[in-house]
Amino acid sequence: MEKRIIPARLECLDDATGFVEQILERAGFSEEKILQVHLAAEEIFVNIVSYAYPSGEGEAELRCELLQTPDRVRITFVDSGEPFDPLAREDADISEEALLGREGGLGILLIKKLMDNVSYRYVNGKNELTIEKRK
Amino acid sequence: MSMKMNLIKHGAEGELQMIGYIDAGNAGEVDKTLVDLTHQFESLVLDMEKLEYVSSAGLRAFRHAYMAMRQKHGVLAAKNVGRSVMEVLEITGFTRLFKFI
Repeated sequence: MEKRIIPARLECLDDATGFVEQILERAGFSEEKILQVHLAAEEIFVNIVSYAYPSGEGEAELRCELLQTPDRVRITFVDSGEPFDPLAREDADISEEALLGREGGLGILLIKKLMDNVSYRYVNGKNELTIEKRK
Repeated sequence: MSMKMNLIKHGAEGELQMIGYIDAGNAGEVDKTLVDLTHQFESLVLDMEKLEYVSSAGLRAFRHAYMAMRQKHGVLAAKNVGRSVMEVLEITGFTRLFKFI
């Protein structure tokens, strides 16, 4: 498993997506799947930046591992903010009305649709959001 | 990630070539450019042939452009949309915002 601790700041977004991307490239994932995981990583990291630490600075920890049978990558994003389960809310409404009327929810919808598995748990005072993508 | 935009003018129609990645780091800049262009043109075509990636932050910029265009009864169009970007537009319902040409 490879780990990276990244300050939860928007200017560190490329550090988070770059960390994930180079592991997938080395593992031989297709360009299309690398972009999908890049997108999921961005959405999760940006959520941590935006919401996890309202009262100050914090960090995001990324844990990335390659698993077999089936070949896949598992990435866990950890933050120490207030407990928050992004999977608990209903999927974003994508009707035309909703599309124009309201912000938010699109990132998590994309993660759910593009990844093969997404799970959340709150453990030892930390939020852990885990995504998996098959090779 | 990096993003480049080139504008081609055809009278009242503006065509914006978008190249690279639109992410949370540069979506603000894209948003501002698009809204400025909706003020300048009656119709705006986004050429996405070389747009490799768009995240939800970029979608919000598209939405602002669409709403600004709709308000003045103009047209927001897209062309040459690649597979990855199209997938994101389809999942989120954002295909509705564009006239595809």
